[in-house]
Amino acid sequence: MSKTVALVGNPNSGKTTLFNQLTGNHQYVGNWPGVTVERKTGTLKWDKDVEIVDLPGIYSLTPYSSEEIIARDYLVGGSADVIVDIVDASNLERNLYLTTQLMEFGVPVVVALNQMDIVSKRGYRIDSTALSDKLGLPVVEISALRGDGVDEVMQAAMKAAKDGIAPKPARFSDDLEQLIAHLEYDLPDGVPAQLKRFYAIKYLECDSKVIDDLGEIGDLDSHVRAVEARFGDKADAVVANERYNYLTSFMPSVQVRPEGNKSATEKIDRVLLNRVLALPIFVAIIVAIYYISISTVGGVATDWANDGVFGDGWYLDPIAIVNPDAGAQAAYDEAAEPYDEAQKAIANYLDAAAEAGIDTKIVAANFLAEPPEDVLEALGEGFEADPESAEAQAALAEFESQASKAGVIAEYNTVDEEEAFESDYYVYVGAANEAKAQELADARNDEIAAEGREGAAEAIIYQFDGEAIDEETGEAVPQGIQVSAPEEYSAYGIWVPGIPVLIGGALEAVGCVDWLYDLIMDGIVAGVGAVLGFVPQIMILFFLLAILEGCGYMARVTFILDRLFRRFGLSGKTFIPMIVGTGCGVPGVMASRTIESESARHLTIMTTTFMPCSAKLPIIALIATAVFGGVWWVGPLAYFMGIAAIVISGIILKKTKPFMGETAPYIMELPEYRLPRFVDLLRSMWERAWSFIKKAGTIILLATVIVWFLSGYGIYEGQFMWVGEDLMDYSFLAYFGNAFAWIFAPLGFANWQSASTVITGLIAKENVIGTMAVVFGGGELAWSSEFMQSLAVSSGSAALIPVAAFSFMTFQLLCAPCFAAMGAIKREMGGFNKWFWAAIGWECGFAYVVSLIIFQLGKLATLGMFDVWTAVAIVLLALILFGLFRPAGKREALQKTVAAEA
Amino acid sequence: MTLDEVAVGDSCTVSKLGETGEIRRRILDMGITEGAQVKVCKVAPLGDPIELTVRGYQLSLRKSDAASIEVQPA
Repeated sequence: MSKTVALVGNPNSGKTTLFNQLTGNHQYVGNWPGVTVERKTGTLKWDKDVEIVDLPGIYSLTPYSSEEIIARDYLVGGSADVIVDIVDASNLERNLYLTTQLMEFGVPVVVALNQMDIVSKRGYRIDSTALSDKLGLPVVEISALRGDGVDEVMQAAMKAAKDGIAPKPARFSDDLEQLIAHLEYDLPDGVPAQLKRFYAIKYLECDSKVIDDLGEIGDLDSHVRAVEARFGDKADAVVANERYNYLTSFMPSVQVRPEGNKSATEKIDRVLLNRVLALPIFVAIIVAIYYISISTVGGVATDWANDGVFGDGWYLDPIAIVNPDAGAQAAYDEAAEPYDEAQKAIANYLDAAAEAGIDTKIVAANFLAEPPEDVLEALGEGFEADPESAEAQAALAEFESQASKAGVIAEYNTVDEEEAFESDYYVYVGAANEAKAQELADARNDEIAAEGREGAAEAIIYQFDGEAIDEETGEAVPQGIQVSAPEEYSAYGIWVPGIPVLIGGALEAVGCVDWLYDLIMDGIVAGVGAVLGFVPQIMILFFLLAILEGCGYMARVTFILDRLFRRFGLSGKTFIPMIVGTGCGVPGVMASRTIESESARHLTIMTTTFMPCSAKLPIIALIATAVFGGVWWVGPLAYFMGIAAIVISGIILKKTKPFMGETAPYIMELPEYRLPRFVDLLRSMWERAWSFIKKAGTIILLATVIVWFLSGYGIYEGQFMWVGEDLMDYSFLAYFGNAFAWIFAPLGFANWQSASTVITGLIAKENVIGTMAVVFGGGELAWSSEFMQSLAVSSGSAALIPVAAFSFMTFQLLCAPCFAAMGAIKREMGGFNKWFWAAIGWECGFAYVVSLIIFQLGKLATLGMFDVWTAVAIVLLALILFGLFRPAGKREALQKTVAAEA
Repeated sequence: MTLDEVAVGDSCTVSKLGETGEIRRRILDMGITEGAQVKVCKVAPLGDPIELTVRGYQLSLRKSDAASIEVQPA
């Protein structure tokens, strides 16, 4: 015969941990009240006939917030055969308060006394046998965390369910008992005898929901008045008092608590909640978490994932982890660097020569490791490079004499685009004859000195067969092809080829047709690989956040921030949906259910997705590393920008009519700190990472394929055709992106590529990076610099790349979330109603305005350019400030709107 | 006196709960009932809310709500 067991208990008492133990599920656990906001059902691991229902934590059975209503309605519904009441032993009195209410349902109750280990650690004693005697209920000591006593509690529950004996309710003072008895007598006849007391007490507690169930009940208010007259207090207060009095009457015989000695929690809070230090510590913790996960450890891990696993490959080399300057990769770099530099210098010189009108094709094709595409095309398919051939040597001699005569000058900056914003400046100035080169280098050095910059210019002579030695320093300089190419990767250590290399190799081996090869390599592997490359950063971020969530600090943050949030009618509890929202916006929006007041809940739903979720992390990481060279502040700034967006939106919206009204209440338990278990941290990290990976393998994969098709095919000169990389500006995606790229002109990223990422980002935010990898093409390093190039064009200046990139990131972080999160907003708002559209509209509008202000004021600061958009930005900023600081003036504003409506 | 007037570090006994709207019920549920011993532990960095020890655990509450709780110094 199947049985249903309901797990009931105070918030944060360990219900979900027990539920996971019983069912083998891995539901999310955290250390703050209100982690579970939905009813969850599972079957007992060792008996499939037993259904386990995990209810949201509740303090009392009087419905107060929506997750309490879920729990209460389920219990009143009567589908549970037995209630297992999880009682946090370290907080016995308040937890038993709920027990006294559960005893009135007429359903058997088993008390599971959890966290006894904490109790004994803190040096006090609880006598569970005495407790069982006093309550008249079976009491089982358990440790939900370790799984101790779990079997026993289920045995007790099964026995209680089989016997089906209703518990004897808690007995109150004689005065109250007498009045309750009178009330019971007057209850309508339809009430079953065993529930009379329950309904009588609920009536005194003014529980309107339960009263409604009763139907016609006649006039019972005289009983309430009698209680209030007798006790001189409101009836619900009287009942609450009596419940606690019942418990305190036997508490001393059950529990012995030594007084005076400070618990570890108090000592920790003395520092973390210190009046002066609390806020700086909070900021420092968040900065550290984002700095570690994006810039340092996570950055290294992501480089490995992007350039190694999803790039050419990587070295299996433990030394490099300890010392990046040693090991196989370093050895390879040392060999490859002069060669790469030389190749770049030559290419640069050839370009300069070509500009002077000299034919460089044959030289380029023979002496460059990767000759330009157009050169190879011009020479035709049959061409094969051979520097030793007579033809190549003759072309080189001819070229050198022409270049020398023409006085071709080329500058080659060793600082590559990646580091373009750093101050070091090192430039080779070259010409085909020594005197000219030296003259140029001297002039350049004077310039550098005059500008007060770091760096030096050095003269080199472009001679393809000359000595590659700098005369002053005696060091090899990148000069000619005599710098030999590095050997194969595998010559320097254990080389693991990257996934694209392996897949590409396999496709070539089976003779895959070209278009499919391109689809797989440039579409799927590039797009999905770009997204998956960020998994290490995500794992590290969520490991660190899991520590914060598991230890109990997050509940303290609500305490620290409540004052701030109250300014706009929210409470510190709003921070809970935000924490959840840093993982994923969908549960974040759902977590808003713990907020009692409706207008505060609406406000929270509208703003929670401003927090950077895991899917937005790659955008942040990309901008932080590719554009800002891995500086420490981009990641934390994105997080605090999310909080600021919520605060600013809240303050502005609170002063508008729909959000006026009562401030959300704040009353919150601050749980004891606990050391989170390592396995729980790993599980939490892995679950979030795994859902990210799963998404990359499904929805992102599909989106990438579509993006590849739309960007690969198009209409060029009136014909439907494969446009490829060269003509991608004629692709369908380009038409599509161009159709609304203009919208982003004032934001600095009005190009079709960026515009299309905004749209694909709505499907899932991971698509922003995936789409960029496809439309900009050419592997990790290449596409991020292509992206920066496109920003230089759309913003109007290379100097504006950082500003435009920051504006791009801001817009992507703050605008409407992905479809999944929009779906959650729809559900919580109750459909596609005005609240839903207000939420989406506000998010997009706010993102647009903030990005516009950032870009335009950034432009003003960088270039000193003032135009009509600068003025618009200043006006918008002024409007935001006005919205922030205008007096609330409730009545006046209300009157105005009423007048306008009339 | 009322609970918000109790100095940090001092204890008191709850004598009566005033009118505090919706939250009154929750305050009762959390164990702040007549006769309960309450100690004021901390004030948040921005001056509000306050942290209490009541019935052996930590509870935080806004000053405006604490103002409706009448107490007697212990």
